[in-house]
Amino acid sequence: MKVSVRFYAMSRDLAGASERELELPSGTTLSIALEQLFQDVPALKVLRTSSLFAVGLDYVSHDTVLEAGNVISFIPPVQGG
Amino acid sequence: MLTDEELQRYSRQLLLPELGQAGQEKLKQARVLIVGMGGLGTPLALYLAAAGVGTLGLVDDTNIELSNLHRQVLFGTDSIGKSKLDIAREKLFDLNPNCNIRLHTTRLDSSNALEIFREYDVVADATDNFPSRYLINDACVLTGIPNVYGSVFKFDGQVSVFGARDSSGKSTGPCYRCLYPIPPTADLIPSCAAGGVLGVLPGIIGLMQGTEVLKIILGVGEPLIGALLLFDALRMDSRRIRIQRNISCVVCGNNPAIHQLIDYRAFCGERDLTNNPEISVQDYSAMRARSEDHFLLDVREPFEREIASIGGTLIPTGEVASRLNELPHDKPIIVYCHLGIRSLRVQALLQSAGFTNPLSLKGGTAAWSDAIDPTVAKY
Repeated sequence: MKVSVRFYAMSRDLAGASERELELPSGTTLSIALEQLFQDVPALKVLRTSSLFAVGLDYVSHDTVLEAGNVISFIPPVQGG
Repeated sequence: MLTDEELQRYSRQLLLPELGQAGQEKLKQARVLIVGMGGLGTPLALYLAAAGVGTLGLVDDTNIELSNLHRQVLFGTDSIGKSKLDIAREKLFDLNPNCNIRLHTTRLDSSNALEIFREYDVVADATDNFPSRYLINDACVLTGIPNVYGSVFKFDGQVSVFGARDSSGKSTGPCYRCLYPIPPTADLIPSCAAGGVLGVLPGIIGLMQGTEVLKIILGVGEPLIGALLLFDALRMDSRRIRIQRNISCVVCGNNPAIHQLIDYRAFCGERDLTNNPEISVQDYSAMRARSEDHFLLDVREPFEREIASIGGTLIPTGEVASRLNELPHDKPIIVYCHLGIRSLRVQALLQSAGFTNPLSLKGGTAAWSDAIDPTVAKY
């Protein structure tokens, strides 16, 4: 199944794109999807522990099972003002 | 009671059934604290004063710089170098003399935050750094005051209301730490000074914060409690992400571990730079006299360079991290700025990037002008 990742703020800079598709076996959890993302784009690893991840419009736990077409939002902290 | 002047001044919002005279009275009684008078704080202060918020507290201890003006539109060119709070008071008083402006000319820290916050009903976090954001979050949770949060990066913004409670004092939404329990590695996420920001963006986000402040005071609509608004100016898209309180949150969870404010700079991994290697202007002058090989790096802004210079290569502080390839590894780098503060930060960056023996020029061009060469202009 295909899911997409939307990058915000610093993650967009590190990914070099505003969005990216992931091809995953069905039944994949958010946590496994993120592992694959960090493997595909190692530069994003620096944001791993400090970022927030949402699926669709909800902040969910990492063991949430994804469905085809889900949009994962990669939301790093932002400090500017 | 509202005066005739107030009835006229606020007539366009008094027409709103959600507001009316009762709502305007609530605004008049309200005390709002804005921490940080930068890109977010200035539009926020302007519109809250205009809307008739009775008491507006402002916290900042910096002066207006030319590079502020593309987004901090409360200030004018002829105010460069003056105190932000003094000019803010002047401008806000002119806009609405009914608003009681209270100035807290200080840097918010763990020693003063609780005392200042207790004088207000709502706090707006308009700061520009992670330690302040965790400090404000914790101080709001500890005092039970809602934290209207906004932050920006390049073209992106975030807005939320943290630490909200119902009338019985029970938490109704998450705090900043529920979302971001672990601060990012120090120096990883650029600030506006380092990463840049589109000038209109803090205006948009600051006014979203303003909207949330007014809604909370008036008790209307659905404030961003349990929701994080993500704004993306490039896509011109906003998404409201539902977020939950983390019951094991160290500050607002069911068994909190934090009962008083901590050292937030240490928590965010900021290093104490006071012991970093410096070189005095006298020693550096002697080094120049001996024609010792070195690389001189000026980390000020181009306009400062035009005012005063002791030579070297100009790379503004915010650009150094992305231009490290322009610096040599085979000779000592002497870093200088205006007063020797920015140069210390750059020195630390160069040291951690593996450059050999970078040194910060103590006291910057100002000390050079005092002790070595008075023809270098002081500014």
